[in-house]
Amino acid sequence: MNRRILTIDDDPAVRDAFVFALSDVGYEVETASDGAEGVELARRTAPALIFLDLRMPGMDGVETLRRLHEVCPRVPVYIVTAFRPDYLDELAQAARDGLRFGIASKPLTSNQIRTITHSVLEGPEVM
Amino acid sequence: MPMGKHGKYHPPMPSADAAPRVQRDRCALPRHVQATAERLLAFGTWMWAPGSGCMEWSDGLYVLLGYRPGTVAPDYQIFVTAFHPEDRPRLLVQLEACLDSGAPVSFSGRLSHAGRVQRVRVAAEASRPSGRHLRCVQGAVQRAGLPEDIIAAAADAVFAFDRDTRLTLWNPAAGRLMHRTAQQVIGRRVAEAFPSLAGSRAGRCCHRVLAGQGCHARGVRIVERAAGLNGYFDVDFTPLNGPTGEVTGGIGLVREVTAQRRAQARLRLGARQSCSLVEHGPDIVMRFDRRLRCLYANRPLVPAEHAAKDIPPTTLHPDAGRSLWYRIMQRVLATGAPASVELFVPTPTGTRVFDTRMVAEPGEHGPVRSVLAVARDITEQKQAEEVIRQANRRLAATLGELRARQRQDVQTEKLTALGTLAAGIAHELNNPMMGVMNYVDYARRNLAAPETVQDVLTRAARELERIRDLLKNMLAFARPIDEPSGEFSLHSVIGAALDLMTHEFRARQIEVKLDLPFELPAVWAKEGHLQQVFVNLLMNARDALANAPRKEVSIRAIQEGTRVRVDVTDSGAGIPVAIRHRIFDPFFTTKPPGKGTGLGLSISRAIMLEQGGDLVYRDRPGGGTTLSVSIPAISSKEGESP
Repeated sequence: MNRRILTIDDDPAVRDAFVFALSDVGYEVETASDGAEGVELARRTAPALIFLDLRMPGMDGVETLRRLHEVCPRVPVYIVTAFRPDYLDELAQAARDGLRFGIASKPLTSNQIRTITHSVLEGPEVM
Repeated sequence: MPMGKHGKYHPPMPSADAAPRVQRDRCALPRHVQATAERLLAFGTWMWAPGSGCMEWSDGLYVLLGYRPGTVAPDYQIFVTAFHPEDRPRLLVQLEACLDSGAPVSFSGRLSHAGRVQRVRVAAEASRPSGRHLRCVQGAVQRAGLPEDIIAAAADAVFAFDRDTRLTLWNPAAGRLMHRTAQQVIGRRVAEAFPSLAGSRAGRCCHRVLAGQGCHARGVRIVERAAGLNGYFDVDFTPLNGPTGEVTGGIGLVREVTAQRRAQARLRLGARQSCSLVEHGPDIVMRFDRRLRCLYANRPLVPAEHAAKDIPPTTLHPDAGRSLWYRIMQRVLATGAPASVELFVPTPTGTRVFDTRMVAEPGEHGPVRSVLAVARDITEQKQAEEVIRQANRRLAATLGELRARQRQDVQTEKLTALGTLAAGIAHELNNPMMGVMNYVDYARRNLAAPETVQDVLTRAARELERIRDLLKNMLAFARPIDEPSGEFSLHSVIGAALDLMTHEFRARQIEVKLDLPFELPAVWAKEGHLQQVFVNLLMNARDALANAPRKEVSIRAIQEGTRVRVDVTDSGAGIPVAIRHRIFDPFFTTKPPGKGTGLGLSISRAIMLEQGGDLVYRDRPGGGTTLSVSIPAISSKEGESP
């Protein structure tokens, strides 16, 4: 079973949070510090789940989401955000355009990260 | 002044070659001459008629007559009797010279009669200027310094005429008035001297006098340009009577009064105008004497029908600020300095206000005798001023409100900016927070450390959760700006807010009382924002009830005009009066440190103001705290097309 998780976030602390929360429990965590790198990694490694930050330098989260959809349309994506109003419109538009994604509210504790990951990859629909 | 009369006369006189003979005896005086003479003497001038011989008056004046020798028997003589012997020769010489040359002569001499000597003056005039044909001398004897001089010096025109209306007297004033000298008029008939007067009133006057009636008129307008008369005159004509009462002539007195009359007219006009100014002027004018009694008032301060019965209408109203007004008048009397006072006079239709000025009126000789008071009714002006003052007060109040609102707006703006700032900071903190939380968690899980270190890490994780909660709270202020307003029911909003708090309330045994009438109108607002406000209020209520003996929260909604008001009340200890006015200040909190940000109420209020509503504190008699939210309601009409 594919246990590769990709986290795309420009903040190393956030990337570390996913690494520390998931690597202990048997997941392989890939990290990318910007959108372009994230899309490239996704294309190369074909992860089972992607955590995506919305606000990033360069390609922003919503644009990255569209690219990811092109590269690996079947991989579920979780937007990890503090719900800044700036991106909500674009996100809503993306949803209307047929892109599917989940939303998790920052900051996430280890337990929350694991719970989301488990529920997406293994368990029934919990969230 | 020589007054003479050209008389009728006799046939030409022969040359004077015989020596004059003085008749020493009294000569007989014809009656009519004597009467005339006496009348004239009484008037101050003596006249004689030709052929009358010598005259003697009762008071001892004698008349001199002269005849050319040979013409009239006995012969040429001049009789000089009663003159002082020393004066007689001189007098005779003068009179003969007059006869010879025709030139007027004047002679002053002493006249003796009955042992009394008087100084008299004789004036004579020849009837014709050619000596040879002189036929007579007619003259007058005046008592020196007697009324003749007065007549001559009189300012009034004086003249006399005989039965034939021939002028026999004409003083200089008459000459000045009527532009004729004595020489031009004496001896002529009035009608000849003044043809234009023939049919005039003056002419008629002469005939009336000759008929024995006086003729007196004051201020007669006479325009007789030929006679030089144009103006107003006082005219007195008086008949002269002989000894038997018959009319022998008349005396006229004419005084021009044009200037006086005009001056009087001007005075009368001026007086009338002054009176009218005072009587009909807009102000009330009063005069008070030294004892402050009202001597005059053009009209009363208070209309008669309103004044007290026992007060004459010209006096002040008894309550008319008497003491003040009287004190001031007394000061004016004492010092002579003007003063003014605003007088309030009660009337049945309300108090009238008079601007009253007082000036001292000096007496004719010195000290102040009376006070003049001029009162102007300024009630309407005062009322207008009061209206303006009130308007000003209202304006000031409005201005104060505006300023307060402006301060409030500034406050709201500050809060909005603060919200944005807080949200920004919270967002920025989220990432490091997430990192630190997971680092600590990872360390706690994987560190084979003594129990104390594990305990410390657990505490660190707990503190981090507190920071996370705080950040979430702050993020609540980062409201999406573009949430649209919409129409919705308060039941659903309040229900949702309560749902969020149910667990908290149950855990703390807080009882909730809900009073939401079914027929509440829908409201127009941003639903998420409104929900946030209610959650804030419920959280505050929860915290306020932490140590309260009775734990109850009540939510009550009622419609108030175009708004719906929702009161959220807790049964806690309430907010002390001293800090009530601060509860909406940002960062003001009554909660212990770490329990509240102090932003909840200020943000909530800002949210309500933004949406045309409000959030206020309400006093509650029973204690506890009531915060009252008002929200614009939707009337049934508007509700159809929000």
